[in-house]
Amino acid sequence: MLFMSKVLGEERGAQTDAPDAVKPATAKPGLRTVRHAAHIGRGVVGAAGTVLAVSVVTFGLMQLASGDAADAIAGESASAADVERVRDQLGLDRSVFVQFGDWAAGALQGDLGTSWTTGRPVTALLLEAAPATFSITALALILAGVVGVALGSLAGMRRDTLTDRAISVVSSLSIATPNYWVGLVLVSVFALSWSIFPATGYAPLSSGLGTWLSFLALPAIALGLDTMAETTRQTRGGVVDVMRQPYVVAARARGASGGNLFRRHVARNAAIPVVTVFGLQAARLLGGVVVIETVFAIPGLGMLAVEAVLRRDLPVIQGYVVLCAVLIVLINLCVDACYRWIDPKTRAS
Amino acid sequence: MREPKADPVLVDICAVTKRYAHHVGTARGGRSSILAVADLSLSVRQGRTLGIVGESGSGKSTLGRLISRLETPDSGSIIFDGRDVSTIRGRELREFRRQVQTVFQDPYSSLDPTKTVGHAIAEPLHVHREARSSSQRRARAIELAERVGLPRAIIDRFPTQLSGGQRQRVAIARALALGPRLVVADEPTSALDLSTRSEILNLLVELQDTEDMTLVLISHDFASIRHVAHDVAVMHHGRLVEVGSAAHITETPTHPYTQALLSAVLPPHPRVAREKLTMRAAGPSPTEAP
Amino acid sequence: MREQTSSATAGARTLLRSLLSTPTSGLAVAYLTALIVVAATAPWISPHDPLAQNLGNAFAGLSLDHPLGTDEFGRDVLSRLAHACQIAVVGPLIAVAVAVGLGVPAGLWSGYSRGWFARFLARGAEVLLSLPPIIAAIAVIAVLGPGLLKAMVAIGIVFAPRLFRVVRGATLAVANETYIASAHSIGASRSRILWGHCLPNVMAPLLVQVTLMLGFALLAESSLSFLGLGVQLPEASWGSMLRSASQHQFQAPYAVVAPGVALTLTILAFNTVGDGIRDALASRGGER
Repeated sequence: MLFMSKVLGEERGAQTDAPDAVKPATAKPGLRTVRHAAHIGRGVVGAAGTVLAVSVVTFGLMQLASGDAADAIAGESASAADVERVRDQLGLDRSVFVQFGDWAAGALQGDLGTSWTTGRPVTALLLEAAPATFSITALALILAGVVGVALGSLAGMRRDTLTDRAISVVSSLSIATPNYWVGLVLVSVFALSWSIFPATGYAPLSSGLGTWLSFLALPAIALGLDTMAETTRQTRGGVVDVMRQPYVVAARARGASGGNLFRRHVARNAAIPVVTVFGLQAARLLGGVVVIETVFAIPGLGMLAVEAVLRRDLPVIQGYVVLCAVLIVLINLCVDACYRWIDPKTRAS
Repeated sequence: MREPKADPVLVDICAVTKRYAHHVGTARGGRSSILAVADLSLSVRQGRTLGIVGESGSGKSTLGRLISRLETPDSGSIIFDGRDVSTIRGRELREFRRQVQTVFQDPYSSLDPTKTVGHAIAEPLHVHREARSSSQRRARAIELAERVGLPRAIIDRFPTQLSGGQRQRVAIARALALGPRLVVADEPTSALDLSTRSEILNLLVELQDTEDMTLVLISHDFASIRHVAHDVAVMHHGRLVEVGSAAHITETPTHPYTQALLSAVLPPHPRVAREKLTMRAAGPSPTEAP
Repeated sequence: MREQTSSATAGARTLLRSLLSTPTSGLAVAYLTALIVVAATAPWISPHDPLAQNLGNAFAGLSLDHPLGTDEFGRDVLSRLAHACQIAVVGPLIAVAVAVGLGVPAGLWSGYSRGWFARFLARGAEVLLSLPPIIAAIAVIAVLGPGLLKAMVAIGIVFAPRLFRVVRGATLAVANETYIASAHSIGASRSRILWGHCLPNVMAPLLVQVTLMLGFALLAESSLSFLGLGVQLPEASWGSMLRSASQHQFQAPYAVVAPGVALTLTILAFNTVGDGIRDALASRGGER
């Protein structure tokens, strides 16, 4: 999903690649692990704070919505007493703080409440929907990563050639095109006209890898296209930067061949900005997948959430938003860890 | 020059101290504070020009900012025209700001780049509701521009179209707009070309005389100050090392630091070998543990 | 203040001139102008009533009478596309207006006053920004309910922290400028400093963000309308047209093309103009 790619990309990029990159790498080895642990500890605390804050804000929003929610559930012909009974059943008559405390205590034990419309536990609904969503997102990420890095490296190594220009035009176009529309077009072409892939729906992994992949191929391509383009751009930029460095110029002067040069000198150094962007994209895909699921009628988290909004099923929305916050925070922690693993400069501090 | 005792005191600075939190630039992020102004007392006489001299880091700019209430003192008091202004707020502070104006060091950043010169000059009038209509403000802006030696056509230009000297004249015109009793000029010439420095300095001194205002002139340059100021205060490491009339201090400096400053600016006497004095004189380092 | 308005119009004129002088952003400006014209005149230039159904003529192919064919109710696709321009123009404007109304004052204030509450606001904005916009918009729509206006308000609320962040960052830098100290020293009130001095000086990054945001708001509107949370059928927006096209994709697989092309071109145009404004302002900043 293109959604805010520029605004989001810039801001969050700045936020993630900033920490500690400038500090000198002169720590003693013994202190290093301690600092490492301290850094991770800070990250975890910050992450927990973010999840808590998102929970509070969402809960507040749901409180605002819950007034007429009781009306909605009781039905249009319900009397005032009926509405009151519904409010009572849902626990809406208690104080906000008590309600949030109950909810948070349950959430910590994996109980996110009960869906108002289906009467089933929210956690179960989310767990049923999650595999489909995770499958598409993971596949899109892999696709975007592999193809994006390959195309970006190619373009960067062959800067200013026809290949480079072609790749850059295609990636600009992919970034501007709403990816749910790409999904619709893919369905029209590959599923309806040529019947290569099933048009809509989802089959779990248990029904066979081939079937699973055939259902996921189009959604993953549609979802991952602009992430791929963004990764291509970043990789190209990183490779071009590294290729200008004196040590690479020197290696080329010594006669290092293309492949060898790339493996030994370029890859790791160019990977740093790519990992950052990649992590941010992973978080963004969670937003994009909402619309992609509707395009392909895949019963994932996004469809669950959209239906919950249309039916005012507030506990489901609350659970969904908090789950997304948890996932994003986890992704950010992983990006941070990868970042430190790749870039030795940040490891020391 | 006038007789030093004749003029009443306009600003009385009594035992003022100001500290700044200071983050030492190391990886550990240590913390300490800088004592910018340390237990300093000084009087500014009405209708005179007081030069505050010191090297950079001596706390002279902080003192200037304290006098014009851009900073509040940590302790001590500042009496302006008989009233303690060190903690005033709201309406009183507004009235104080009408009477005390500041000319800043860097005319390249002291004028809002999105406002015309006329707007900049007349803004104090607007803020203090002295000229209500825009045509009134425009007329006053032209008048003030001419008073500081700028052509009237300049008021429709933007600061980016002006030279440094012109900009500083605009800043001075802006400071004059409300007819202030006190103008604090913090290194008004140090950002300018050598050729325009004396013009601006002379303009300030001339205005001090014709507008009947008091001028506090902050500078690191003793040589230029001693010609234009009536009185001079020498600062070093946040403390006052010497105060007196400009003539007196120039002729018979008593403190070694003043002597050092002067030896750096005075041409060597033809017959007396120039005494080389180091700038490392009395006083503790400004950086102290909090 | 006459001086200010004249400088603002002069600035706008120079900006427009430099936008039109580059081919790509000139083209984008022309496209957006055309879009606005079509939106304004849609009721007169459309060949048919966009809501008039003719079930006997559903999914008609391209013809002189229906240049882009008809949809599942036999409604003229071209007319619906033209009417949808109105939502494409007005929808993003509403969202961005809400974002500006919330984000700009808060950003100015929080960048200028450095108290704990200002920092708290900034931290809060970071937290809100950690959620992808569409997920945040879904949470807000859960409160407001679906519908075009509500969806655009929701998008505006979701975008507000982004503008807040941009404005706050720029204001933090401006607040250190001597002209702010100078305004303070003449006794200017806080609101005068914020609106009279900080705002004009953060206008450049704000303008770039607002233009780019129009494109994102359009994308968000179409996404939400596609999900059924924005524009409600039968009213036509490009997103809702895509929704009905996707529901009848087996009968008319290529009905998704026209609204999607319109959507992509418009987003591209907003982004191009945003980039153009950024370049123009950057080169003008270099002159100074």
